[in-house]
Amino acid sequence: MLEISISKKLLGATGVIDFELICNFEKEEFWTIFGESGIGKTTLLRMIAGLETPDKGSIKMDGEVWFDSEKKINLIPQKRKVGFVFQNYALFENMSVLQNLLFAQPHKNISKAEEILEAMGLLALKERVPNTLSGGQRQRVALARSIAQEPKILLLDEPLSALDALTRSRLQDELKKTHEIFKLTSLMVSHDRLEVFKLSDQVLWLKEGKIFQIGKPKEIFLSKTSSSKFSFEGEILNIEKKDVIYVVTIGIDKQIVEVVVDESEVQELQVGNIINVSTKAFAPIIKIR
Amino acid sequence: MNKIKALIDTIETHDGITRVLLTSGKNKLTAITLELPTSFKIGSEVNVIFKETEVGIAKNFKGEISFSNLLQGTILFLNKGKILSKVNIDVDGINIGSIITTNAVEQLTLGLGDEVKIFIKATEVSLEEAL
Repeated sequence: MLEISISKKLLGATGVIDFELICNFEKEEFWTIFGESGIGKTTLLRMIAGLETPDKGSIKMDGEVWFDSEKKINLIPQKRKVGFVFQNYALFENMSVLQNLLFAQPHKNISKAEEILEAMGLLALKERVPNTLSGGQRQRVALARSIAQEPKILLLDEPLSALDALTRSRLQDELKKTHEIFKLTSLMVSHDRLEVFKLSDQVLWLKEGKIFQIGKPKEIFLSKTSSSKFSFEGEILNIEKKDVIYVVTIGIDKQIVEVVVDESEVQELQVGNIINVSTKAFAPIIKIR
Repeated sequence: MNKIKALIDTIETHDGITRVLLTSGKNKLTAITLELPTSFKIGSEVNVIFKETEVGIAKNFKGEISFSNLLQGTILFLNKGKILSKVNIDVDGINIGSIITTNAVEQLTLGLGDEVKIFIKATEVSLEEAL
């Protein structure tokens, strides 16, 4: 178990944020750190990895102290047994895929490295050098390499955000599978709700440097105050009167939808409002494309 | 959007589907939902929500109907458009809006002061915590 109890002053987009976190991360669970940019998600991963130092507190992994401000303990990153995958894959360009894995291994073992590549469907690429690979392949190699490190915890900082939607969706499935095969404890930073929902066992939702919500994705993302199950956040783009009704055009993510509302509701609405659109789970129609 | 305050009388759940019976004044209402948020309990005050476009109107109604929510009221207000019309009905002091076709308004010869019955399907009714 990773036990964290830390605080740090951060310079966020809106000024100084007092980042404070007390949280225990259970082993073999997939955790997502969710929230807006600039509230300390990446900083949290960097503090766990030892790349940044908290002002106060402690970080323990399976009882081993990685950081303790009072006892003045601060293990260097190499001693923390942490695997780190970033958005932009940092592979060694002059080494083959296999060599990249061997370099990362604490005890060089070709058959073990090949096992990892095999499990991730990368064995056929083992002699290739990174610049001959696609973005998705490179990110999978980066993931394989961090697994070769035999980390106690895998830290993923928006690992898929530079990829196109289709590759991203495929890699999400693979990431989940890899997490399960290698029985990893994973902590991923993401601000994509869909990704968070797909991958996580547990979600840690941060707001302004503090825990806003913590729990299973279904508990967190499905509405707790209403029985509506078909619920989206969107922005009002247009409001138009038609006959005795009004049609409100709403942008939801990359889609644009229209919703019919009554005159009595329209008075409260304005173009630019961020709103919640919901309907019952009974109404929508599903068609295969 | 119609919003009526009501109290939860019974909650019946089977296989993730929930039937909620409610009382608002002297009227009984029914809502069918998937899993209900845990904060909804028997005796909780909630808002019963449904869109104007889900409210049907009948005049001189006789016979049986499958709609679980059946209320009686008087037409307070009528705004006829070319295709759609907005009808407001007073149900024991609660104003309920209905959007139906102008064709239907004419067929039923709806007018101010008419006694009507209104229908809402239980699966179109949402429940929300009354804050």
